[in-house]
Amino acid sequence: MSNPLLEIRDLHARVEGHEILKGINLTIHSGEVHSIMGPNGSGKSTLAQVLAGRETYEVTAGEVWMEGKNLLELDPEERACVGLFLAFQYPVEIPGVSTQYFLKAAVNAVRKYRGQDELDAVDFLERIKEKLALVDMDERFLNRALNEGFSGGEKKRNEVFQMAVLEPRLAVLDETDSGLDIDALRIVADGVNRLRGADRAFLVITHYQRLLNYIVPDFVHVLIDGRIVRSGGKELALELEQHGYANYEAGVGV
Amino acid sequence: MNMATVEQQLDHYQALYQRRAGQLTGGQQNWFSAVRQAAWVRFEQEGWPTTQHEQWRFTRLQDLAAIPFQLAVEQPQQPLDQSRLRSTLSDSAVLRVVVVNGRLHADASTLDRLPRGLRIGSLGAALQSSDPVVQAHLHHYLGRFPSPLAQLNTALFEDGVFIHLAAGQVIEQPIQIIYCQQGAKQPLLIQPRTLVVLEANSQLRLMEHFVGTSETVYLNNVVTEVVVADLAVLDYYRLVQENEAAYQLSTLGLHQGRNSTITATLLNLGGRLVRNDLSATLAGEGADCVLNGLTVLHNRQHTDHHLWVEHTQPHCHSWEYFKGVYDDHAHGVFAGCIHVYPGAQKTDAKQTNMNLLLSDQALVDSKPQLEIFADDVKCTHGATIGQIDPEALFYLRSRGLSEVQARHLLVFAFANEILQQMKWRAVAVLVERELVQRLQAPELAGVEM
Repeated sequence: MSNPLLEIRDLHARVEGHEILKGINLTIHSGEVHSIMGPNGSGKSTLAQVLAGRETYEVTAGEVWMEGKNLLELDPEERACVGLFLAFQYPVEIPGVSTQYFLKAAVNAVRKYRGQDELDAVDFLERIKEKLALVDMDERFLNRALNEGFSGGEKKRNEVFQMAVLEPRLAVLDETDSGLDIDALRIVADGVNRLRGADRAFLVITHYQRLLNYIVPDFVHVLIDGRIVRSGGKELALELEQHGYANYEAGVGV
Repeated sequence: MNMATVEQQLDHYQALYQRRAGQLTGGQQNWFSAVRQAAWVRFEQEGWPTTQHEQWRFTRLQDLAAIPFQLAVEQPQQPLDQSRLRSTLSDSAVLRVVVVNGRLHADASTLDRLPRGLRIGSLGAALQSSDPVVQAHLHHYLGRFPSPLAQLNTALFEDGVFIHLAAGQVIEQPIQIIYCQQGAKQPLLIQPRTLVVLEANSQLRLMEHFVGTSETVYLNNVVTEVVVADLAVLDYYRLVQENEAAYQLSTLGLHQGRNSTITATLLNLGGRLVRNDLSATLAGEGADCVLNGLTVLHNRQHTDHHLWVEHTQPHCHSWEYFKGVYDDHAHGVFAGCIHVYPGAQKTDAKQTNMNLLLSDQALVDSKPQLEIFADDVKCTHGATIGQIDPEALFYLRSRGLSEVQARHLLVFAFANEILQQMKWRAVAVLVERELVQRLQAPELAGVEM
């Protein structure tokens, strides 16, 4: 098998003195879709934020390797340039900056890092128009201030749209399904599915199994109290849907 | 300020007044001389404001006390070096009015072919000739509590700009008044006085642009009065770019008739100290007044906006949206009062003041105030003071923007919210350029956000 795209080894992290991640091990190869499921407070979002480099979390032990680089030594922007993308659970509203300007700055930052020429406004626009269709949005959306006044569904579609434009190697979706009605969920899942490919991997973090009906994972991991307690195929998600997390949680506290 | 300096300062101004009073524009025996004398008496009685005055709590004028300002009007006139009006606006369609040391400079202004119904000229000349419009309006719109500085201006001003737009006229060419200085070896007291009268159902776009063209210390003691009659529309801009050693104390009085609209954008890139007393009186039913403000300061700059919005009639709408960005040791003050008269039902008034601090030493004082004497109104206010949002910073960085770039973008975005509202795009571009320079963010140059 090829080298892993992402390799997490014994990752520990804490916030404000509380240990949240207590030894995560996870290996993801290109082309794979992994899902992490777990109850509230199990550390799902912490894992996503730690991978993206949020400074609020302190990594106390472990390593994360991606594309031959120790991710934990990189600034958030360097991680983006290496090819990591985090679709936020709560995308931030930034009045005063259009989605278009923001994305152009992002794309050019990544291109610069890779030693490519920056795109001018015309080339850029050309490139992103087709990506809009991917999430069923029209061009007017580009001129709106970033996420400002967006509905929950629009914000999540915007995250997927950004993902499509930035073309990451590894996309982490942090509860992208939360708060979405079934129509929005389909649009988001469709967008993700069309971005699946041999040279890209996904880590889909979710609380409920429903999203996984639309984004069918290759692997499912159960995260309880900061540890992955079980891994399996997509059928594991269905099992969790039926029986919940109670069995696993009961085992943890003892 | 201790009593000794207050008195010394008053002595200094008394000497100026006594020397000048006999030669003031309009002479000693015209309709305006009594107004001037009364204003002088008020100034003498009230004296120079100190931080003991509630309205001046956050702005100390102590530094000013030590400076022996000389009246700019007593300086000999020199030819104007126009290259010093560093590219104020590139818009060739603009009607330009240049005021140097408080006097209208006709040669530098473009007043030869004015559109029909529009008069622009020297206020001193209009005063001298007892223009009936000036007689009807001058000095009536200083607000309910004119500051002592406004009184000083009334007592001693010599000139400024008079703009009169006849009823029903719509002027498409915008007007830019540039206030600048020249040729001073000693600190000057400059006192421009401007009166703008829009008759019923007329429309105009106007900017007052204060440009520091000298490097020396000066005190610009400005009074501008604006009357917008029934159904008239004014799109007003004020851009303050005094030099960083200069002081500006200003009074801006807005007065609105029935169903009139004023949209005012106050852009403040500062001087050493800028104080703006703005009063807006919504004196006719259905008047609409929008006041947007953007202040961007660094070093030890200080800006104080005192706003007084008066709703005297029903169905009026007022909106204040003031933002400030403060770096280094800069200090910003915002105090805004919305006063609703009994009977001014269905008033819809909102006041917002948002401040972004870029350094630990920067300081903001924000003081909202509502005085409501009617029972069927909608009045709200809100103020925020904060730093760059770490979540927003992380969001941008997670997309590949460097930390510096993300910070620049967030600061610019904060300010841009005001720029985006501006209909006169050339002014927005001018300010944008200044911001890019101020932020040292060349990557933002020429952006259309």
